[in-house]
Amino acid sequence: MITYVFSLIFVIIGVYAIAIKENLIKKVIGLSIFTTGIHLLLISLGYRFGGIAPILLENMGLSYFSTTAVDPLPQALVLTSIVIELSITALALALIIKNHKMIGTLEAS
Amino acid sequence: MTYFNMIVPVLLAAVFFITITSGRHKHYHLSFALGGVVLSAIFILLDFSKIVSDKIMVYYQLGWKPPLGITFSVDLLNYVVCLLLIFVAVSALAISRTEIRDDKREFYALFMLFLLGLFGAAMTGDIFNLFVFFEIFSIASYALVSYTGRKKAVLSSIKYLIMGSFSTSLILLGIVFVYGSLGTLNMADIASKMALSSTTATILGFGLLISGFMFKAAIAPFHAWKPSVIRDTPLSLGLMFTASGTIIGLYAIFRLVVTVGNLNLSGMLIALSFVTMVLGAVLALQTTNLKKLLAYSAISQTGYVLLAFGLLSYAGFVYHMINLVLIDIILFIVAYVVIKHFGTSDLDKMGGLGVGNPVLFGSALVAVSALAGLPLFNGFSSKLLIYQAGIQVFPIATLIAMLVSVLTLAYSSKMLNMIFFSNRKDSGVVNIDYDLKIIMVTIAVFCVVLGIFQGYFTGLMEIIAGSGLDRELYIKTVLGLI
Repeated sequence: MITYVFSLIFVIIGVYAIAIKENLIKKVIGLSIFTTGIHLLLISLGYRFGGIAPILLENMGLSYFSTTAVDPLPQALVLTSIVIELSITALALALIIKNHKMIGTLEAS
Repeated sequence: MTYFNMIVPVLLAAVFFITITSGRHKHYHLSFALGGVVLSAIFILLDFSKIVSDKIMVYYQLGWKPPLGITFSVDLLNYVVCLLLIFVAVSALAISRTEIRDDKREFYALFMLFLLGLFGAAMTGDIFNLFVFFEIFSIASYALVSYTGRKKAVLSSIKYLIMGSFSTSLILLGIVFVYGSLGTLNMADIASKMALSSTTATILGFGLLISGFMFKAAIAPFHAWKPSVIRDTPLSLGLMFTASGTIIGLYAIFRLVVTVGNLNLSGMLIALSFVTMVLGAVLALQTTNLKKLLAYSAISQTGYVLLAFGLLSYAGFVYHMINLVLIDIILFIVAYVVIKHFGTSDLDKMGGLGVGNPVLFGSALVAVSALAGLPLFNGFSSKLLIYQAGIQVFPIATLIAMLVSVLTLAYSSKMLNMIFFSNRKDSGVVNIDYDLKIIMVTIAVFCVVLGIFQGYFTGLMEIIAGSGLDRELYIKTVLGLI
């Protein structure tokens, strides 16, 4: 439950930074925090306290497996999303550097 | 049967890698891109009879059936979207042939990535996959906006990136809610579980998904990025953003709301469409920049498509979406030729092309008449469907749509007047390349044909929209229950 609260806090901080901050780097940081909040929410959907990795071993009963293994799909989704977010951050920073070289400021306006 | 829904994304990805790894100063990058588009078109057309007979064509990735695997499912609606994307891509490449001079390798490689994302988003049957493809074409578009390397272009690219990736994050958040409440990502599976186990969280998730797609389609509260982006990019890209970005956003909204969710959002959609239509038309009326005018005009027309959706006139939705694309292609080609001739996109500095440019003027006249919805042109046929639906359901909608039509006539005739007549006497003959001329005239003929044989095409559009409405068939075919 605590992870839901934290993800909400992350999302609010992210939206605040994107909407209010004038500095472009801070906006990108806000974007990163916002997506991290979503990732936390997604990963906590598949979390199970004391769960095991979702690998079915030979001497493991199916009922034991289905009640203790965590949901692997959110983890796969979060991995994909992290890669996407990384590439967006890299592109944004590259563009900001280019912008800074041309007009010498990091302000958005 | 060639399963174009699997081949086309792979093919475009291959062309992307070939282009990006080829020599920097060679001259074959455009040929690669065109080859990729033409091959995609061939694969798409090869499956035409299959689509018509089977209604839905499903490809299971690696043979995993849903809900486990990722599916690529195409029915008539996606098929039409794919055909429109081909039209737009060919026209944009034709414009880019003379427009793009530097960094061709990077441009065409990113163009292919853009197209890959669009096609993938149009074909996929899985909402997370839809998100990934939206991100692919978004990232390509962020990089393409800054392609010219001018100060304004880089700054508007950064702003577009921040707003755009915020909106795609909203799509991801929507997916989290839908997965959390229904436990599946496959569209058909969601559709089958929607009736029994949907909760408030599911509806919230759908709302977030739709608002993310509205950003890409530039619908009212999320339209602000479009004019500045179109102003700062080359016109070939402007066409891609306006036409293909809009149809993919609208298609995704249609698929989610109608086929998957079966939700009734009429009130919200009609309200948003009013704002979009009126705002776009009013802003188009006061701008004197040709590129911005085209962007505002496209926003206004997107409002019409959304209104058709809200009024449940699905045939009108498909019809006007097709018309929007055709008109945009002509207008962007005209704008490209004219801007190249005058060396500026400021309408005040143009004029006097009315003498000696019959082909250019004729095509522009057809496009403007269709845009304003004059009878005998395609814009009229689709607007008529919207008006009729409005009279039956909600008469005020028809009144507002007609009012915006008048505004459309005002700004489009202003544009026509300022380009072709205005105060100047004669600005000489504009040199139009043959490929652009052929595309322009062909599309203009399409516009007239779609307008004259209105009854026939209305029936056709009903069939196309009907394939998106048939939820039972979609669920059963995609889940493999038949």
